[in-house]
Amino acid sequence: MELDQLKNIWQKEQSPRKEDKQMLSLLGKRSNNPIARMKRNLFSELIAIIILYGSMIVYYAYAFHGTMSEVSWFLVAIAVFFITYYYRKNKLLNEMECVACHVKSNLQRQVRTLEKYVQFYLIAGTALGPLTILFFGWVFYIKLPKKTPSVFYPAPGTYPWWESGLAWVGLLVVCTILVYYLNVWYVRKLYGKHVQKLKELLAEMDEG
Amino acid sequence: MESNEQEQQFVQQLNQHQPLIHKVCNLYGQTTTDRQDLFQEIVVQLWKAYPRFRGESKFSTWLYRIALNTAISGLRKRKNHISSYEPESLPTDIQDEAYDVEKELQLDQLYSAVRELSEIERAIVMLYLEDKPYDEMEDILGINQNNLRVKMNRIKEKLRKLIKPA
Repeated sequence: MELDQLKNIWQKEQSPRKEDKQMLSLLGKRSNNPIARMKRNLFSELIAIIILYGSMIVYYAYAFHGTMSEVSWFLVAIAVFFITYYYRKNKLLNEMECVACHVKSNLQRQVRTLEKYVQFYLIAGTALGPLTILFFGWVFYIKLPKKTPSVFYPAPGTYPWWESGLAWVGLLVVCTILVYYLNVWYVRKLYGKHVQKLKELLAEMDEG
Repeated sequence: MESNEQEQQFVQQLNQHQPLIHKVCNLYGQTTTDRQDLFQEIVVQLWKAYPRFRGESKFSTWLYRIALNTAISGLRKRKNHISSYEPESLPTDIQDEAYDVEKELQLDQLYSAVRELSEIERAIVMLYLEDKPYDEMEDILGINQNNLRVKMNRIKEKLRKLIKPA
């Protein structure tokens, strides 16, 4: 059967019509598309961070007679980092979609922004690992009572400076690589299939 | 008050084009629930975009863009493909009137065949069936007219094989 013969049947098809009342009730519903869900998740993440970090900052500022207040300051720095991170991610999510644009340009915009989003997620997530190790390494060094010297905390005359330096660099490199691959696996799990699907759709649109 | 008026105006405009949204939902939703969810999502997206609609393009062109964008890139997780056209989505008023069984079967076959196509091909064939000229199809999809013609010929060929003669 030829497609043109079916045009008439297609155009005369009468779908069940929704009443005005039903339509009006739909206007107040929230969107469930992936970007709207990502925005809601990001907002929940921000609230969780504020509550968690807020209480930890207050706790470390006053606990142990204020001797661990450096942890509070570190957590304040991390919270500032998270707020910047939230702002940037939210900005990317707002740029991600243009539903009233051509289908092709909307797909291109989604792929471009989603790739930026994933890259940012990866860089920010990876940077946090070594920074945390460095900070807590420093806190333990200045706060904990001196114990047996080790390559990480050498006493004078025990380990040469370069050996300690190398140990720290090694630890940071291993940790960064581990955190990086963990993040790569996680972002692929979260967004990999979706990005791939969008790219396939674009490739299909471009092929002649 | 002003907001209520805008809502009423929007719903009135949308009512003229409701069948288009239902057709998009029938083509892209695999189950009745999928179709209902997609219908709701399209209406929500249209309503969100409505304040920015300046009338630079036809209302139907604007609506097609939003409906197809929502259907194509909006649904991340889809259930397994079900190619048959489910009877609950058939127009009820047709059943009460002179119900043309043969036409209904042909429509059923058409839906089943179109659902075998890719998301992009479904959009192209839908606009073709709606008798949209190629320049408007380009305006909705962003694919140039020559490319659309080539694709349309391929789609016709595929559908010819998929739709068995009655």
